[in-house]
Amino acid sequence: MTAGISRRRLLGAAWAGAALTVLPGISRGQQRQRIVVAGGALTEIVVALGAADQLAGVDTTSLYPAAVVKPLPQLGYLRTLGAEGILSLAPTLIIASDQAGPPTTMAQLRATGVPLLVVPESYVEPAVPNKIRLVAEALGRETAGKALAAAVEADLQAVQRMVAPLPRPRVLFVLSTSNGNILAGGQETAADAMLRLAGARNVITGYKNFKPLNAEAALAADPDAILLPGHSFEALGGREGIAKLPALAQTAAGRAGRIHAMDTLYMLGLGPRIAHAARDLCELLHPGSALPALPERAWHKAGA
Amino acid sequence: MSVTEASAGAPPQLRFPLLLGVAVALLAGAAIAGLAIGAVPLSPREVLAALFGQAIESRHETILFHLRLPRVLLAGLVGAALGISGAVMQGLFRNPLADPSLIGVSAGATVAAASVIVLTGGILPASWQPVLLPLGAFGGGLLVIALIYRVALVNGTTVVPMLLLAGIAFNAIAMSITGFLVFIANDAQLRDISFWTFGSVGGARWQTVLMLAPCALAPFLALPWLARALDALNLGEREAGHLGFRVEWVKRLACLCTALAVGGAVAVSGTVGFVGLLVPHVVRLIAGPLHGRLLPLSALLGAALLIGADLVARTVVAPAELPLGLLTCLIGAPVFLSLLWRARGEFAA
Repeated sequence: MTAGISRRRLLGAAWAGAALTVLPGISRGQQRQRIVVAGGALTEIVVALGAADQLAGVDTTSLYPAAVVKPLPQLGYLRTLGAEGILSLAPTLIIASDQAGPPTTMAQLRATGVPLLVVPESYVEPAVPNKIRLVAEALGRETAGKALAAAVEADLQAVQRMVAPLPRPRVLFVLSTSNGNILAGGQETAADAMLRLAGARNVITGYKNFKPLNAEAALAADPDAILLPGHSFEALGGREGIAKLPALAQTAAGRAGRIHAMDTLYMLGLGPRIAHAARDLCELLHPGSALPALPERAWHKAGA
Repeated sequence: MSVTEASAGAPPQLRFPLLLGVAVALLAGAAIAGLAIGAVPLSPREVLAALFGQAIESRHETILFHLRLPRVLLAGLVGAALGISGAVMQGLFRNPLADPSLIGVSAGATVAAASVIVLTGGILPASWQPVLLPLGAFGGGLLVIALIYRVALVNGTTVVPMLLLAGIAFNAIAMSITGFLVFIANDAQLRDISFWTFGSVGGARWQTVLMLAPCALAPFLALPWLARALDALNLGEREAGHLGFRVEWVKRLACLCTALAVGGAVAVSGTVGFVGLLVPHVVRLIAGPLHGRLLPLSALLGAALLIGADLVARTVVAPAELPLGLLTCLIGAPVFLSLLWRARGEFAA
């Protein structure tokens, strides 16, 4: 019995070894793919899987890693794609988020017969490992995909272990302001997902998406801390400027100056860097917690 | 006729057949350019060969027959519908600022489109959106025009100033409902709504062309009769009545044609700005105010303008696309201004 298992294991290992040695040969022998990607996280995944050199074009939400993405042809915004524009890049594979559109363009693309992978978005983990597996399968890089998904999953679990003993601060996520009103992140947003992963609670539980929050509601919610994406933090005049906003000045966070910012794309990208972003966000929201670092990953350092 | 017109003062008004020829040539030129140019480079020889039924590379054939040709046809139909409707509206209201959006078609369509965008994916399945969006926009446009028309109907006659004012009121209502929908929309829906209001013919497929064609062509069937009636209406409602025109029927027909044509156009392409307002004015400055010339020329030029604008929209930032509504204004407004500049002596007199 034990002998059987070990033989099976041995066989499995041999298989894996064979696959590993053969795969690069296959991919070199294969015709090179021309991949068009619509969706920032998906582009990050393609790059993390080592297929950066096969990218033929990306949408405007694909900003990372900048060195890879910058020189590529731009498809325009995720939701205003044009069919002929995409086909002009002669893609052999189109990878698109389910947010990509308009639906008419997607229908046109389907009709052309170019392989099209539509990847569903979700704010509930393991959404990222699932995305990785789907993309890897479409690229024919299952082995690399398994490794990447496993690494991200392990990192996410490590972050959950870090978060477990910590208190849960109540955080208000402010996307931007318009006419003096703050635009706050509710349920079912990338911000809400990241707060949960980083061991914090979103004070906005009454609505979904990003909506204007009036000053009284902000005061009533009384967050312990306020979190902003980097670009808004700068635009609103940094910590002092934000603490003076009428809607936020009287909250516990505003009075104590507990106002934090994080790079927009890193924090809300929901790509392979999600675990590292969650860990860094957790450290930001739990001052003095001294969290251990996650293992260094190639895809995390790529653009830094 | 042309001699007396020419002697009447600037700008000299050219013979109609010549103008018609020029307009047809412009349209043909725009259509050929629209077919030949795009993000995927096709040689003119390849395009011609394909159009005459010879086989070309299958990827190029897909692009030509399933993407470009329907797109050019759709742009042409939308442009023609908007151009002719604008001319009809300006004639009906005897007001140079009248355009199809005035009687609420665009606003009604926008409310309906925004509702569909916000409701599908949540309450309704997302897969319904491609079908529901044009149907809803078409229905919304017709509903609002019917409501406005009902308000303006006093003792069996349509009071044109009432039509105008009711139009403004309904536009305001529609705008606030759209505002509410924007408020409850999520990030993605919000962008869909705002891009919808910029207009685009990028979703053109053969089905869309076939859906729009009967609506967009409706005003052309009524054209010969409508043109003379609108000329008479220019003199005043009572005068037109004395000339033997059934004024009430003229108004109804004009509203119905506009509702169908613009409703259909908006349903498949979103709100494309200024074509309905600018094109008839440009034509009037060149060809004079007679509707027998104004209506067909507005349709032809509207079609040419939209095909041209769409060509720019899909090539200038390729492989991305610019919003179409942005370009119709950007191309149309300077042309209009330059004509206005040359004709300003006439306005001062």
